[in-house]
Amino acid sequence: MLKKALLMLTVLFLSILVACSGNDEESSGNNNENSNETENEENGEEEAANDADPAEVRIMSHFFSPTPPEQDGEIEQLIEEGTNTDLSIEWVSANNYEEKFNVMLASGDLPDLMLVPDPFSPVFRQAAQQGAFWDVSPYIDDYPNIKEGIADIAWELTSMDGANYGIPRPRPSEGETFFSLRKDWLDNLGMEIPETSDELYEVMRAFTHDDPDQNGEDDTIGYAGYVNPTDMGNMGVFEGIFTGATGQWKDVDGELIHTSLLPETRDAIEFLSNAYQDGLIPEDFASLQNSQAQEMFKSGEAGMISEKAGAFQEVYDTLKSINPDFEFTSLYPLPEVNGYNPAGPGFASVNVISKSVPEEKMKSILQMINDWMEDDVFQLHRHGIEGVHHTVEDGEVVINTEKAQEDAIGDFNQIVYVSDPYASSVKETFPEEAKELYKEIQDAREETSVPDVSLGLYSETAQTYLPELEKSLQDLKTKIILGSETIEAWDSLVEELEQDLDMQAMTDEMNEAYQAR
Amino acid sequence: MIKKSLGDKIFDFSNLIFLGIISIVTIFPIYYVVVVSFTDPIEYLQKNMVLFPENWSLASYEYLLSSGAFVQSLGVSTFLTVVGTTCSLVITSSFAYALSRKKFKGRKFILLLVLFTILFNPGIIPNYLLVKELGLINSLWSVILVSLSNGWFVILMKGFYDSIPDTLVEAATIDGCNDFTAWIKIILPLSLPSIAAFGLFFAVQYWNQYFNALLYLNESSKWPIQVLLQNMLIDASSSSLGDVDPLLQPPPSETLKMAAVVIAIVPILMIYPFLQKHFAKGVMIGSIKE
Amino acid sequence: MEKAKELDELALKGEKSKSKIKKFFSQIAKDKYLYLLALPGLIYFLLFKYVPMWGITIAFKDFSPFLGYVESPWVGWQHFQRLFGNQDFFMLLRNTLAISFLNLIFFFPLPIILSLLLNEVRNQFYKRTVQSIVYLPHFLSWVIIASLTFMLLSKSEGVVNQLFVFFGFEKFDFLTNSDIFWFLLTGQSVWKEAGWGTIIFLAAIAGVNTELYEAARIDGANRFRQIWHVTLPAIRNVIIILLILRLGDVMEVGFEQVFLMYNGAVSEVAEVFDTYVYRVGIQQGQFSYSTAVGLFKSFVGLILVVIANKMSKKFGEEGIY
Repeated sequence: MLKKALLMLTVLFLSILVACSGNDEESSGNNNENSNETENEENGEEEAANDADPAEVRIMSHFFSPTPPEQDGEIEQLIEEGTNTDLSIEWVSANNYEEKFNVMLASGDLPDLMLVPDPFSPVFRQAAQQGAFWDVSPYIDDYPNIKEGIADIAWELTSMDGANYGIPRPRPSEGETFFSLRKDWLDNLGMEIPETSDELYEVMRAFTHDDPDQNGEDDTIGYAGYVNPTDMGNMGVFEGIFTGATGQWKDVDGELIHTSLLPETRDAIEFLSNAYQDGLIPEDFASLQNSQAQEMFKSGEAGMISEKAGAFQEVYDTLKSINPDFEFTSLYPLPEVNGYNPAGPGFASVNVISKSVPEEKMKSILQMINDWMEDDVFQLHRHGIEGVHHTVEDGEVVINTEKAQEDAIGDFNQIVYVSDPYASSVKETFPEEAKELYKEIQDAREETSVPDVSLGLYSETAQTYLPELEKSLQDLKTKIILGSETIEAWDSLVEELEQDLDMQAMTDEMNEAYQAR
Repeated sequence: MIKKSLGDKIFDFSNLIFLGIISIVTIFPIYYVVVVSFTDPIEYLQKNMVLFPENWSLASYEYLLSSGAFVQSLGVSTFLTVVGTTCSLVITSSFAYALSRKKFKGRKFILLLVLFTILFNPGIIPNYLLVKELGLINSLWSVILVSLSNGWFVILMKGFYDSIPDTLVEAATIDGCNDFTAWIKIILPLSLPSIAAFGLFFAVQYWNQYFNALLYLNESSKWPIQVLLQNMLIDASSSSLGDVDPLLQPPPSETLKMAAVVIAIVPILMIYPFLQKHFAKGVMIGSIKE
Repeated sequence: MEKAKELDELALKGEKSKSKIKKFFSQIAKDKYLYLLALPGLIYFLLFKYVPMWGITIAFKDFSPFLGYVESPWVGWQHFQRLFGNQDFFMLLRNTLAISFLNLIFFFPLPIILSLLLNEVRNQFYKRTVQSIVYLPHFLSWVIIASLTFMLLSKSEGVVNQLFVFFGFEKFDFLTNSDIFWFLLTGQSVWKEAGWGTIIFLAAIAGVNTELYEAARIDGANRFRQIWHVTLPAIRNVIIILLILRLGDVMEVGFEQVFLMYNGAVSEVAEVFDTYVYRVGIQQGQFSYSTAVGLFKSFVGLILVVIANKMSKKFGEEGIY
C-alpha cells in the first residue's frame, strides 16, 4: 500500500518535472522563432516583407465584456487576413488594466502596440519622455485612414513637447453621457421636459413620491445615482449643470479655475444633499456600483440615470420583458439642463508603439492600423461574420445580438475604431423612430455642449497633488450628501484650498499651459 | 462506560444549539447566492429580494456553461490546483520536516531566513522581472511556482513535525532506513491528517489564484476561473474612459453573477470530502508520543 | 621566540578548527539525506523569495522604469521622510492597527473556541455537518464576499434591511457608516475564516492522546476542566506559532477586503497602509515611495515578531525560531 503510494507520488512528481521542462522548451522555441523572424525583417527584405510575410504584432488592450474574444478566433483570423498580420492579442480586463500596464511599463516588458488609458498620467509621460515609445507624428501622413480618421484636435491634445507618442483612439465627441429619463413617467405625471435644475429637482421628486408608474405603490426613486471612492460617479453631471463646465477646470474670463473653488459646486452639493434627504437618490449611493445603479433604471425602479443613449438596447429589452407595452422612445435623453450638456474630446485614450520595435516594424504596425480602418476589415467588429453574427435581409444587416455579444466582437473596437458621429446615441439595432429621435436630440445638444477646456494641459504639481485633492474633495462631498457633514465643512475646505500653496502652484501652471495653447 | 453527569448533559446540549446557530448564520448568505442564481432574472429585477423564487430558471447556468471561455477556465483552475497542490505539498513538507530535526545543522538560521520572507516582500515588479527572466511569462507554471511554498506554511508544518520524536526515526534507521526513506515510509503516513489539512490550504490557495494569473498570463485561454469571475463581479468604470462600443455589452445581471459564483466554488468544495476522512486519523501521532 | 609560540598556538587553533570543520562535514555527510530533503525547499526560497529582494533597494532610490533598478539615482531616506511627514500617516497607522487588533481580539480566539467545542460533539454526523458548513465561506474569494455583503446589507435592497423593515425595525446603515466599519470588516473575516481556522487546531487536537482524557475523567474532571487541562495544553504550541505569525502580520490588513468595502463615507476609518500603497504605488506609479511604505510595514512586523518570540521563550514555550 505504502509502496504504491510512494510510486504514484514519484511518477506524479517526475511527470510534473517533465511537463515543466517540456513546456519550457516549447516556449523558448517560440521565442527563437520570434526573434528569427524579426531578424529577418531587419535584415533587408523590407519591401518583400510587406506583401509576403504577415507582420507579427503583439497587442495589449482592455475589454469590457464578461469574457474577452477567443484567442485566435474567427474574427481575429479575418482581421489578420485583412491586414496581413499575425496578431497575438493580450486582453486585460478594464478593471485591472492600469495595474498590469504599470507593472509592464516598470519592468520594461512592453508589447508592440499597447493601449494607454490615460495619456496624461505621470507614469506614461515619464516613460514617453525617456524614449520608451515611437513618436509617430513624422509618419502619419503616409497613412490616409489614420490621418483622416482621427481628428486633428485629438492629435493636438495628446501631443507632448511637439511629439505624438500615442495614436488617439477616435470617438464621437457629441452624445456624451448625460441625463436620460423615463418619458412615459413624465407623461403619466403630466410634466414637461425639465430645462433647469429646479425643474429637474421637481421631476426627481415627482418620480419618487407621486407614483409615476401608476401601480399604486411607493416603489420608485428619482435618480439612480452612485459615486466612486475618488470621483462623483454618475452624479458628476449634477455638478456640470451648475458649474457649466466639463471636467475639473472652468475658464472664467480667460483664467482657469478649479471647479471645487466655484460657488456653483457648493450649490450642486446642496442640491444633492437635499435630494438625498428627500429620498430622490438611492439611500446607499455611496456604496453602489455602476451596474447596480443601471439595474435600478433597467428594472423600472428609477426614473432617471446618466447614460449614453447608445446603451439603451439592454435597458429597453429588460423593461419590455417586464412591461410588453413599453416603447423604445420612452427612454428619453435630455438635450440640456441650465443650458449645459457635456461634449467629449473626440478621442478616448491612445495606443502607443514600443520603441523596442524596429522602425520597419513600426511602419508595418501603422500600416496595419490603416488597413484595419478600411471598411471591409472594420465591419468585422461592427457586424461580425455574415451567417454567424448577422444576416442580410433585403439589403439590411440584421445582427444576431446574442451571438455577437457572446463572441465579444465589439471588444475589437478597443484596438481600432472608426468614428461614426452618432455612435454614442444610436445603435443599428434600434427601431427607426428611436434612431430619428436620438439623432435629433444629439443635434440639439451640439448647440450647447461644452468640452473639457483643461484636457492636455500639463501641470507638474498636479501630478502628485491632484489625486490626493480629488480624493479628499470626494470624501467630503459624499459625507455632506449623506448628511454626516454639514455644508459649512465644505466652505472651510474651500477657504483652506484658496490659501493652499499647491493649489496656487497647480492653478498657475495650468494657466501658463492654457495661455501657451 | 461512565455515566454522563447532568453538567455534561447541559454542556452537550447547549454546545449543539450553539454550533447549530453558527451553522445557520454561516450558511444563510451562501443559500441566498444559490437561490438567486436559480431565480428568473426578471423576477429578481422586480423583487430585489428572493428567499424562495417563484420561477426557477437555469438560464444563467445554461449561458455560462455554454460559454467556451468559462468551461476552459475551469479546466485551467483544476490543473493549477491539482498540480500546484501536489508540488507544494512535496516541497513544503520535506523542507519543514528536515527543519524540524534537531540534528539539522543551521536549522535556526534557515528558519530565520524563512521567517524573514513572511515579513519582507519585495513587491510586484521584482517578482515580475524574476518570472520574466525565467521565461515563465504566459506559462501556467509561473502561477504555480510563485506560490509554491511560503514561510507561513513551512513554519506551521514544522510545528507539527516537532511533535514527532527523533527516537521514532532512529528506530527506523536501525531497520536500514535513511532519512529520506524514513520520511516517506514513516513520517508522511503518520502526518497524514496534517498533510490533508495543508493540502486543503494549498488547494484553496491555487483555486483562488487571481492577481498572479492576471499579471503573468497574457493569453485569455490560460486564465483560471477567478480572473473571469472578478471581471464579471467588479464593474469597469467604462464611462470615465469615454468608451464606445457599437455592440454594447451590458454588465452581467445579478443572477448571472451569482451563478458564476456557484460554478466557481462547487469544484473546490468537491475535494473537501476526500480529505476530510484523513482528518480523523490524527490519533496516531499522539499514541506514538508516549 | 614569542612569535614562534604564537605561530604554534595559531597552528594548534587551526588544527582544532580544522577538525571541527571535518566533524561538521562528516556529520552532514552522515545525514546527507536529511539535507537532501531540505534542498528543494531551500533552493525554492532562495530563488523565488530572496532573488527578488534586491527590489527593496528602490525604497532608497528614485526609481524610473526606463532607467531600471541599477541606474536609478539614490535618494537616501527621502521617501521615508515623505511618509512620516504625511499628514495622513497617523490616520493610516491608527486604522491599520485598529483593524488588526480587532482581528486579534475577536477573530483569533474564535477558531480555537470553535474547534474545542467541535471536539466535544460526540455525534459524528452532527460534528461533520457543522464542520463542513463552517468551512464553506473560506472557499469564497473576497470579491464574492464583498458582493454578498452588498446584497445582504445594503440599505435600499439588502435582505437584512428588508427583513428589519418587515419586522418593524428601522433600516440600519451598515455600509456607509464609519462608526461600524471596522466591525463590519471583522465580521466579514470571522464569517469567512473562523470555521476554516479550526482545521489547524482540530488537526492538532486529533493528536491528543485519548488516554489523557480517561485519566482526567477518573480524577473527576468535568468537561470544562478536561478542555482546560488536557486539550488546550496539547495545542498550545500551534496557538503560539499562529499568534506570533499573526503579530508579524499586524500591519497587513487584507488589502482586497478593505479595498472592496471602501467608499467615500468611511474613508477616514478605511484608509490603511495597503490601500494607500495600492493607490500611490500601483495606480499612480510611484513605485519607490510605495516600496518604502512596504518596507516600513515590514520593519514593524519584524520588531513585533522578535518581541513576541522572546516573550514566548521567556514563558518556557518554543517560539518559532
